[in-house]
Amino acid sequence: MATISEFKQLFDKFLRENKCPTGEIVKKKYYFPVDQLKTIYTSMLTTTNIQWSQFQQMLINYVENLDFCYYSWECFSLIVQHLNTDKTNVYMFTNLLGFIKIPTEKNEDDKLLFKNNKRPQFKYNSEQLKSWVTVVWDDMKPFMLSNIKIRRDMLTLLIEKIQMHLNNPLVTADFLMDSLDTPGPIAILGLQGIFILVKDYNLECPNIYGKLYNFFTTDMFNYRYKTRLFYLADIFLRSTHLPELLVAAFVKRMARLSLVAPPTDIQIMAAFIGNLLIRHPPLKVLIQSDSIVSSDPYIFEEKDPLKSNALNSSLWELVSLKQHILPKVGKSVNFLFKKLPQVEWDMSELLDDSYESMIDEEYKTDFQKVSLTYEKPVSFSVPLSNHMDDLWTLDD
Amino acid sequence: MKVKKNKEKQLNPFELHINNKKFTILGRKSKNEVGKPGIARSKSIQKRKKSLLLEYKLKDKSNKFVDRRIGEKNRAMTADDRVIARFTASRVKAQKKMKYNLGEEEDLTHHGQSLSTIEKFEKPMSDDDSDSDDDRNGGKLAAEFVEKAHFGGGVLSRAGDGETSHRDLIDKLIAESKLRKYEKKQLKQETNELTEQLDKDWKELMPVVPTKNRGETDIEDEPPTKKKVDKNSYDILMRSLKFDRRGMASDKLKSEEEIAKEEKERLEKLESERLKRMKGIEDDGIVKHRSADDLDDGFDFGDDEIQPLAYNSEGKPLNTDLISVNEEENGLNYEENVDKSEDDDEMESDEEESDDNENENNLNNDMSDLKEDDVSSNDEETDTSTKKIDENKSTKLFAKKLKEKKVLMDEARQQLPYTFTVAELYEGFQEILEDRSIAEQTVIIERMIKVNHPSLGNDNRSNLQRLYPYLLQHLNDNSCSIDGWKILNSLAPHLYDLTQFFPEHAAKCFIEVLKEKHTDFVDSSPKQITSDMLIFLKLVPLLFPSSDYYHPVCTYAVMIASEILSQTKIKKRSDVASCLLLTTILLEYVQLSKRYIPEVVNMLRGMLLMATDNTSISYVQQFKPNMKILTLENNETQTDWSKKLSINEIFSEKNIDHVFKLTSLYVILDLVFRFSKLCEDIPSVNEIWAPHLSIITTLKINSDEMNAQIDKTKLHLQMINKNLEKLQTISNRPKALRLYEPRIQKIYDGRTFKTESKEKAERSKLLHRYKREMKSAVREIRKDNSFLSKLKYHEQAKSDVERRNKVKQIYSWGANQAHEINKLAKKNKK
Repeated sequence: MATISEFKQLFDKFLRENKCPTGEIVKKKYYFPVDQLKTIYTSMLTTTNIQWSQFQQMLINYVENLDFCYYSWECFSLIVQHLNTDKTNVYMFTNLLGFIKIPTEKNEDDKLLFKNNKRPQFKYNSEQLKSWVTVVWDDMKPFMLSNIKIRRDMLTLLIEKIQMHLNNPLVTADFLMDSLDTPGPIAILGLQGIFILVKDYNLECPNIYGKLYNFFTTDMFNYRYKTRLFYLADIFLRSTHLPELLVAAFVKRMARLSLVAPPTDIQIMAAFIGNLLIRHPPLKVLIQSDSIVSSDPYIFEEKDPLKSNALNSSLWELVSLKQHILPKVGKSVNFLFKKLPQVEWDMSELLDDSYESMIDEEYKTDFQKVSLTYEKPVSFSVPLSNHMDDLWTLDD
Repeated sequence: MKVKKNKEKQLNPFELHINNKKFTILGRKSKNEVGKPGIARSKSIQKRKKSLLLEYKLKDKSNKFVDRRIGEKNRAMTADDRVIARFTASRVKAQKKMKYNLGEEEDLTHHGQSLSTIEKFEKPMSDDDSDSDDDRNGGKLAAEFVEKAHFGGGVLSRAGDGETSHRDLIDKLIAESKLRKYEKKQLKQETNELTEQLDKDWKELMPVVPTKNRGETDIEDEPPTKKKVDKNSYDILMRSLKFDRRGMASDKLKSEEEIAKEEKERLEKLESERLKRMKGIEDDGIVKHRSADDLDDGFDFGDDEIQPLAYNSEGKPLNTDLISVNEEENGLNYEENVDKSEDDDEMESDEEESDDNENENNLNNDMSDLKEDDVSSNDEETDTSTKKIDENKSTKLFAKKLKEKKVLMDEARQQLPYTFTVAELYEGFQEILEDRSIAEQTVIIERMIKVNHPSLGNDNRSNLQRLYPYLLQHLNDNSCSIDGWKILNSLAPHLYDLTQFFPEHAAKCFIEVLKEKHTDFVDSSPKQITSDMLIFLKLVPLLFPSSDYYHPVCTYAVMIASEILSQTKIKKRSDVASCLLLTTILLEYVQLSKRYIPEVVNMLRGMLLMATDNTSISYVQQFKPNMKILTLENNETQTDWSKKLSINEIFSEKNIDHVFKLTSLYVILDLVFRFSKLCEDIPSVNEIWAPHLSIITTLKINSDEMNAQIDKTKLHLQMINKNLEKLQTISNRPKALRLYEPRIQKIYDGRTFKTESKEKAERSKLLHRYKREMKSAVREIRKDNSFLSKLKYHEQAKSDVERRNKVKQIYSWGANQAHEINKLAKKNKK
């Protein structure tokens, strides 16, 4: 247990090291009081009565220093080995990991906290740093498997910065593939991790499209990460060499989902489907065909996109959406009835939309003339409709 | 032909001009081998003499005299021949006219007048013309006088009288004629006076007899003196009297059918406009004509103001609007009366009378309202034949309720003062409505609107505009209990009236209110539907057409409603009721436009899932597998449950009991039925309702009514299975290749032609032709000039010769004279 004033003392002591170093100065090695810093971090993790935001205030002045960040990771690698869920606050540790950036390389104009011309200069050793980061990642694994929140946070960190600083990023593939099978946002984060591995580290991933396909479910609209999913799916499906059957399955699945989706997501999916149709001209069979079927041949429940029989189907769902109550949504599927353009639509503009932004935008629109009803209501039920009277009563 | 040939042969070879050819070219026709300059010149001179010379002679002469008398130019005819020929011609002309008048002889004339008219022996002058009459009579002598004076043997026959008697006779004669003149004058004056009298009487009668077109009366309003001068006025008046309908009826009483027809036409027009908006067809922006004097105060010269007060066969007023205006006036009068009658007792009786009148009027209004309601419910009955019996019951109940309400309202009407001003601040408005029952509040607001009707002028319009947000605020303040809904129920018609006065203002008010409600919802946690949101969302489709493709208020409201529906947390009994109520409200929004709301479908799916243990169907929106608050347990005892939810449920704090579960499940099923019926036409209707169907098939409840409802919904969802036609959105037409003009050379004879475009070649050809034509025209003009100058020269020479001859002659005359004078002089000398 410690108070804020004690932490201030600790930091003062830590800063004083610059002028009068207490530790041993090794030859040809940059002096940094790692022990002092480690004690600070350890006490942070054990303290429960101080909020993370207050720590943030304390650390904010130091994080811009290159050496501070660099040696912080050495501290983390030391601390992580003794991390314990009972005594220490693991959430705080993930916060710390997120707050302190991993220095990529040394520049001349980088600030150094313990710069002293009499002592040896600071040297950036990427191998050293990588080994520290790898230690941190490896030792965090048990916590990630036991706690979903930590797992989510760590996955975010992994994607944002850790992955590229690992000794061998490909070792995370197993972990990410496991994450893919966990429902919810973790899977999407895992997907993004896999995507980075595929893109930058030549990972060969079997059935990644099947997994991606199964992300598109009716409950995807509840997740905060759905825009990330759309973004990733757009990138995954960017290749024009994908089999038509696969892309058709994606198109059809999104079309089907758009029947239950919120308006903004419908707009995104409509643009996405339009883009896929532009990318894959053979898919025009979905909107240009002349035969009659008794019911939609597409099998929505099928997990394998290649067996979903999507190519024999047609995009009735989008035509249905022309009847959507909001005119904006109705207009977003108009591309079906025109000639497809050569250039794809920009989906990124749509990704940030939400109910609130849509309603705010509508609030700002100006109007000149307002039409009115011409049947005078007698009571609160709309004239010529009996829904209200049939289903509700004003009596107790 | 022979003659011509001879002539050609006789041509003098010296008069020929031969063009020598250097080469003879095969296939080329030579046109101008031989020229005949002499003949050509004489030809051209002849031509000019016929054209140019004539023109020259007629130069500066504006007209000419053409003698067309028959035979005048023919020198061979003698004068007699000419006369005969002319007479024959005139006879022939007359004969032509007579050709078809069979049996009629030719009209003989004397002195240019036809004999037939003379033979009628009519007096050529009539005595009717009074003005000229006097002069003529005055000019003539009386028959008696003539007889005596002219043929009576002269003065001798009355020898005894002598000269004096003759003078007396003449005097008498003069006196007689004067008397006659006077009498005539008198008579004429009397007639005039009588006519004037008649005119006056007529004029007095005119206002009693209504005329259709005021133009006629305007003519009659002119002063009689002027009329006397205008001779036609009498005719005009007479004719107008003749053709004017005597008892001018006011507009014909419109029969019930006609009124119904007019109303139908009006509604059809409005309906077609609504449909246009529903399909999202943009208006062309046709701006209604506005006068430069338009004050933009919304004052409308609509037809309802012109409508006459008319009564139907039972003696009831047909037009209740007029009555209501009268009512207001009564109210106003009453108010004035109150002011005056503080000391005056007599006034009170008037007051009562007006009071009674008003009550009657109100009753009439109420009755008509009731009738309308019955009619509308009847319509509905015909629409849905399946649920006839239920509906009958409900309409009866409804009518009964309305009657009760009316009775309440009447009581309230009697107790309240008649005028209310719109308070400046909301607090003032609140004070007026404080401690009043809902019926009284309604009456107060109704009267406020009537007293401040915009057509009564003043700043009533702004008053009402101020009132509008107050009413909304009032609704908002009362929204936390069932009272709010009751107020909404009774206020809706009045809000409708107010909205008609200023649609834009109302729309702005609503958008602000909805915005406020939306921010409330977003900021609240946990996100819950509150009654005020529902009240305003309910009110919107009553006032604004929710069927429009885009409507500033309705679209906004729908956006908010769908957000609320998809994000609200469902935990309690009131949450379920609110969600169902909002779903019902949204059902009203799409009643006409039949558009698709995913949020509603998801909500119904989630609600159904809450009622079953089914786990095979995936969850949507905010629903989670652990939300099973509506699940019915079969072992629970059957109790009576109603088929309608009470609006009070949205305020309920109770736990969810068995009855509520049953009722809400019934309502959910009904909503599924209604929504699926609405979106039957959507192509993927099967996919939309498939999850619902599979949930409904697993429902098992021990209640006959519920099972009937389940079966009905299930059957309907299975029925809508339909064939799908694969999409063919764009008709693919192959694009035509671009065509180039082929290069074709017309002639091949070894020479190279200029390769020019068609247009350019055409142009150069035309230019060449123009050049040639120009040259020939110049040449012609030159020849014309020389011809004219020769002519002028000859004329000049001719006149010179004449002059010289005249001069010579004059000289010779002079010489002769001189010679003779000299001769005389010589003689005299001798």
